[in-house]
Amino acid sequence: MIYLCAFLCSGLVCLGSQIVFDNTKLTPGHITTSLVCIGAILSSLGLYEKIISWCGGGATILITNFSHLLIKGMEEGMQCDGLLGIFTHSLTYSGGVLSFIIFISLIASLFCHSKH
Amino acid sequence: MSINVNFENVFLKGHVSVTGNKEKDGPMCNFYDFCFGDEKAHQDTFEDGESTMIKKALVLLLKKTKLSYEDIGVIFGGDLSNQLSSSSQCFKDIPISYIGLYSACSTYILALGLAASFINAKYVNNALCYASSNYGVAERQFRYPLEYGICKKKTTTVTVSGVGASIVSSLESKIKVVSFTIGEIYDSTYNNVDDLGGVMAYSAYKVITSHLKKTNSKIEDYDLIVTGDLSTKGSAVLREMFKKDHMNLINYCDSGEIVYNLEDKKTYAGGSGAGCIAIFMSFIFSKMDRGEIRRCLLIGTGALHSQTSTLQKKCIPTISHAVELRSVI
Repeated sequence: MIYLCAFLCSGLVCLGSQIVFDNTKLTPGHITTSLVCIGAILSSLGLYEKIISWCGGGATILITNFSHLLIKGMEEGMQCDGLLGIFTHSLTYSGGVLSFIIFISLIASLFCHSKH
Repeated sequence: MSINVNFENVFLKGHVSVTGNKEKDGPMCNFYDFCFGDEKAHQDTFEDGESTMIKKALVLLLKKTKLSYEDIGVIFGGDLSNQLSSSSQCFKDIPISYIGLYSACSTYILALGLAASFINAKYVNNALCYASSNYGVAERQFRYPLEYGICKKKTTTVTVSGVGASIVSSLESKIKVVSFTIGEIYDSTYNNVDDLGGVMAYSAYKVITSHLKKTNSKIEDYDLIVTGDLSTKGSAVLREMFKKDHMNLINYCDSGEIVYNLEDKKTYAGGSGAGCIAIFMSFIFSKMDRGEIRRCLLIGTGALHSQTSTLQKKCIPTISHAVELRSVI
């Protein structure tokens, strides 16, 4: 069942994004940032954890999960360090994703060339 | 009110098209004189590639028409790069008077019309007109650099990498340049940079109706009416506009629709760019040279799009020019 949920969850997000992309003047940059914002809102309301429990990987591989990790780190920071913890802990979980992206892009840029 | 100029003894002596590799796969490939293996024409940058293509076209054209540099009085033309840098880089070594033009994708028709005006006024005996565009240069300038790898929309047009150059002469040959209608700038109240074909359709409509009115002719009188780069979307809009006026746009084609193989998904809505109608001119030239097309109306359509003004939420102004050719065999 979780496989079906994962498929539907990711598929719906992609479908929605494609409809927005085809019918508005928004660029892919606009759409991904909007998805990050939506993820942050869902996560702050406590809904994103529930979506992950239903859909598993279908929710965690999406860009919305990145903002969920940011919010999750901030919440923990708030609990152990107070208000300052929001800033110091924001990258606790998402740091791994960020450093992976940065290093992989760096390595790719050394060997790869853009195609069109 | 757009003006119309009639010419007495102005002839089109020769035409040459030089293109990149994508155009070579299109249906018109047999009419091009030379195709490079890539858009950069084996140079390091797209701009250098464009300069190389212009130079190649110039050399081939002089060879074809058996003229030398001294015979050409003046060069009219331009490309889509900022400050026409590709053209200036190309012509810096060539000792011929040069007038750089920018009229977006209608540059070729404007250059042809102005060259014909110079010949008609007997200022020079031979003039060269050309237009060039390059995919990489235009994408960086008007949309996003290719390296950014943005997803394209279905209405997007692909800028042609190619150069079309012609010699306009006072010496009699088979194709006569008859008249030239200079269009007005029309504000489209539209600012979608992904659908420039639709933006330009109205200005094409305006210049065609104005040309027909000024020359007292009808659509049926022409064997072929060609628009520059309205693409599949824009040409459908244009057909619809004439239908509303109870005129049937017969013998009409858009060079953007024809230049690429539209079954290839990467060509989106078709070709565009200053080079689009300029390389399509090869087809028209060979057909008129053999007398298969007697009377032809060419409409260059240009979206005067600037990235700065679009970011400042301004609409895209458009302009179109028309030139009428006749076969005199």
